[in-house]
Amino acid sequence: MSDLVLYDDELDEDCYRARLALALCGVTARLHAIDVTMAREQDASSFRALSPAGRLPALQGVTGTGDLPAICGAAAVLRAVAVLAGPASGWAPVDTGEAASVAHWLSFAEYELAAARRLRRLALFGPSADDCDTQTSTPTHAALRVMEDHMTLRRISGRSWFVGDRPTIADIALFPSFALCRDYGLSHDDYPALRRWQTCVKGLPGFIAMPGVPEYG
Amino acid sequence: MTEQEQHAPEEVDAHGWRPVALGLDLPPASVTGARIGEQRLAIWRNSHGDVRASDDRCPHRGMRLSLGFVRDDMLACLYHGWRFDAEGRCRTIPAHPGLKPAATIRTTTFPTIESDGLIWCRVDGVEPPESPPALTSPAHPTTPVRTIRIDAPTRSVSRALGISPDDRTARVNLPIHDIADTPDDNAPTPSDAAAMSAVTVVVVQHAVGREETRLYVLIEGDAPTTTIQRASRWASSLRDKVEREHKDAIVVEHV
Ligand code: FES
Repeated sequence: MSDLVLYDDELDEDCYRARLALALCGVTARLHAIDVTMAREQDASSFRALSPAGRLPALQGVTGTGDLPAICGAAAVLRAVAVLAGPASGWAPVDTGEAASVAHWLSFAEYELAAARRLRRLALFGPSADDCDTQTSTPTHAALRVMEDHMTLRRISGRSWFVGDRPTIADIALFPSFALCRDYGLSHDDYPALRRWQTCVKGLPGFIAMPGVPEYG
Repeated sequence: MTEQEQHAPEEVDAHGWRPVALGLDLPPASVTGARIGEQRLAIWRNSHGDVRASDDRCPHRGMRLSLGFVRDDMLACLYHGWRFDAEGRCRTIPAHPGLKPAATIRTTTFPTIESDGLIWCRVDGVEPPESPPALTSPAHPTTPVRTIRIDAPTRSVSRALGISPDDRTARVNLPIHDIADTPDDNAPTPSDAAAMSAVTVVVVQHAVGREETRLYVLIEGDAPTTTIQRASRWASSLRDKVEREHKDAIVVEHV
């Protein structure tokens, strides 16, 4: 019997990545809300004991085969969830090439899409100490364009997903930044290939929404 | 919208049929936003494939209908779920399920036509007497490639395409001998290679704003997947080139 806990902040984009991965991969975890507003629980020593950098999301608990040490950050949680789901779930990479491409897009989601996460945080919650005041949407546009160009070529060759013939954690890692870009005023209209892909993601069994991501569309 | 945009000195041409989407980018039961001049539009398709255009403003609280979704062949507003039929009449108000909405609750609709792989719309109020410009002869159907946004004025795009700014359509001969970045099982044999050495790419421009142009890219006639991909990559590099040159031009102006 496994018993997993996801340390979570409902409005955080990276935490949504983790919740979406758990839901789509069919892995059950209890949610433990971390109040990052007034209480700043991410800095509490109890949470730092588990996530030393105070990073959310964090996944920890007991799996069927033993203890799961604390896994911190969206990319790590996504990989862990795909492994926990097991090979039969269809979410673990099938071969080396696919694993490498998934790694490529996970790294893209972490670095290139960091600008998108910053923009959204700024639009929703205002500036924080680590934001410089010259935020522009240019790097975010550039990142979404790379995704749009890729998915246009994929659409032309009759594919629906970022990698291979079925959804992978690459799709889960990339989806929230596109789905949430309306939060900071970017429109989906300029990204028809990503819109088409978004509809496919929303149609996956187990899909869950979050504030800012409508269930339909 | 900024004030500067509102008083744009450069008039965006809003007359006649304007392209608002590539047909394939609007699957059944979906909606997208578009713009012709100052008119913002929600372009939507019902489950039978028919395309409609509506003012992108919900009569309830003014939210954008293009952010909504299509249900039961009606355009539904994301915010409180009011639904509008093909003629723009409100048919359902979820908060008052028993109520039959008054006939006066409606959105403005605009005529649309789908032809040559493109969805065209007109907002100038002229009863549509003529058809949209034919892109190719009926004997040569087009193969749609993609839509691409360029952050530069239409005149910069026209210059790069080598057409006059008034020409909205460009035809570009694209050599396809260098397509083979991925080996293709259906690669032409040397004998048809000569015949297939170039394809005609049809580029339809639409000025979305002063600094924003949308291109609809198609190929004349049928084309294999590799050629369509090649045309898509060509469009990406055209975009990057035009934007770079436009940026450089702005820098020069300010020096
Ligand atoms: S704003 Fe459209 S239904 Fe309320």
